Amino acid sequence: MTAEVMSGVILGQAEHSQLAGAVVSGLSLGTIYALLAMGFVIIFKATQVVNFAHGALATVGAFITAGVAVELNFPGRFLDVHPLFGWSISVMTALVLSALMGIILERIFLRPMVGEDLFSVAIVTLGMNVILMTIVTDYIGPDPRSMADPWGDAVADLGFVIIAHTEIAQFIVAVALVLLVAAFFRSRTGIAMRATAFDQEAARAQGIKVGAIFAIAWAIGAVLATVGGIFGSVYPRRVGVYSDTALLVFRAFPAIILGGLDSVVGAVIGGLSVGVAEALAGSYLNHPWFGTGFSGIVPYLLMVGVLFIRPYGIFGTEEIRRV
Amino acid sequence: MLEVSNLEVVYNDVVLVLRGISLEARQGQIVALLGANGAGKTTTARAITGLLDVHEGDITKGAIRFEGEDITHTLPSDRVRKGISQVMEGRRIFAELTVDENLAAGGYVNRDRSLMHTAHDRVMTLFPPLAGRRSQVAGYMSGGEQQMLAIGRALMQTPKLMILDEPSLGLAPLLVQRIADIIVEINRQGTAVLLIEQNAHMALSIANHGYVMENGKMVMDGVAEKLQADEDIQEFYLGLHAGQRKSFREVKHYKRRKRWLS
Repeated sequence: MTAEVMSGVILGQAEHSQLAGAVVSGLSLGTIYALLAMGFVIIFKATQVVNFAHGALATVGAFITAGVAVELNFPGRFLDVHPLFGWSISVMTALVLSALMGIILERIFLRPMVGEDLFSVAIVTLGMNVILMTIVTDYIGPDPRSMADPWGDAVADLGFVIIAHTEIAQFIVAVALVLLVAAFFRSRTGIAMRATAFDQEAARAQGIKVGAIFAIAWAIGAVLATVGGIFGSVYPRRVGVYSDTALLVFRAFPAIILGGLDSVVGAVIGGLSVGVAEALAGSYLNHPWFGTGFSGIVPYLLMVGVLFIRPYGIFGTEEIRRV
Repeated sequence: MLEVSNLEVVYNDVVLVLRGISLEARQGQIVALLGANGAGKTTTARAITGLLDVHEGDITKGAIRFEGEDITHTLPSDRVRKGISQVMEGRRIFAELTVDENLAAGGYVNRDRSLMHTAHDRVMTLFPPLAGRRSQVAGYMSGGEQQMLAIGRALMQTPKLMILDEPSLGLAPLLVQRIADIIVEINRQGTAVLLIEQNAHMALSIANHGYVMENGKMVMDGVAEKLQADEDIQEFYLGLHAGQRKSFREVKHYKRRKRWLS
């Protein structure tokens, strides 16, 4: 960190608004939750699988990124380019590998379960989670793997608030991904996916290959999880991939349920609101009465509160049942 | 064009639903398949379009040939690509999608953009009510409009053979007539039609040929006019009575007639 930035941080401290700081860090946390929630919701909606291995997907994805960028040093070992450009290529490569991982996992573990009930399939994903986490924990070992991102801990001082370069990158990437997903759902394949989500048999009658749609949904889910995992493993979060990066998804669960489990828009809004709520609580509720780590349970409190008022989540489809 | 021969279908490995049925749909014709509930009409449609596996059904005997090619065990998507489209029973439109998105989903196998445009224009001219609702969510439309959308969705595949499963189900008489007119028009434009119906009156009024199913067997088939004139058909499917009471011993004589072929 340069001297100017350091002094900026220290001198500017008084003028920085606590609220703006909490909101920015909440939004940055929220985008990670939103990315994880979006992938989870897409998989759930398109394939009717409650994916308890989503945390493992995020961890393995981030681990693959670290592997490509650091261990393999790709593309750095072949060409000497601007670090940001080089790292982008590493990430792209890792994303392709993650998508493949998603497709393979679906094919091996979940395709045989098509038509089984929701709970059996959920148990299969729990098993998948155990397998993936065992393998990846074994590889990571006690030392976290660095993401080797080009930003490090650099920050920008906007006057009223300090924002990390990683957070700026994260906002840009998250917005781009949300727009991409929105555009995807208007495309030929995206419409086919929504049709499949609504009525698999009718979709098959139109000549839609439901298996291919499942594979695409898992690829998208794995890619979004990986991006979430990457941004969850750089400054200002815990730097590096730990074997417990997967816990991020457990904190994203309130976001998923808050949004309504089957709504992509809900996932984004749920993610952001949970992130902001958590950061605001962390920043303001520091009275000793609350103890430490109270912010960690705020997402769950928010979830319970919302479910009291809207049992299907904010954007969830209401299930209408005849009594 | 479509030949089904001695088809046997079993559900869950035990329930024998089709007991060796045969039927044929010829180019340019409307063929009606009649029968009461549970006769096996929908199962026949599923077997032809390849959607039996969802219902744990299996073809254990017989063959389905389309344009001379054996398609008995091919994928549903291949059959759609070859030109067999199905309008499913109960419409089964994608209620959360808009009209245009439903049509796009129907044209999924059709990668050719200009062909898609032609198909879309054709649907819009055939179904003027849909043209005004292109971006409306399909689930909020009336039953008749939904049925039109279901037929339009199948038309997006520019089919050679269209299988309609109970298109008149739950529609008002006036709408049933309208759907019948549309089926005739689609047939006139060069698509063969296999019309599965309980509304025998409507089906036989537009069909060239008819088949009657009972308990998984074909019990009768013939030219539509001949079936319409048949006493049993009149009594049991058209609801026409000769006037005098009949002894039950005399009814449904065709069931007892042994049939060697088909």
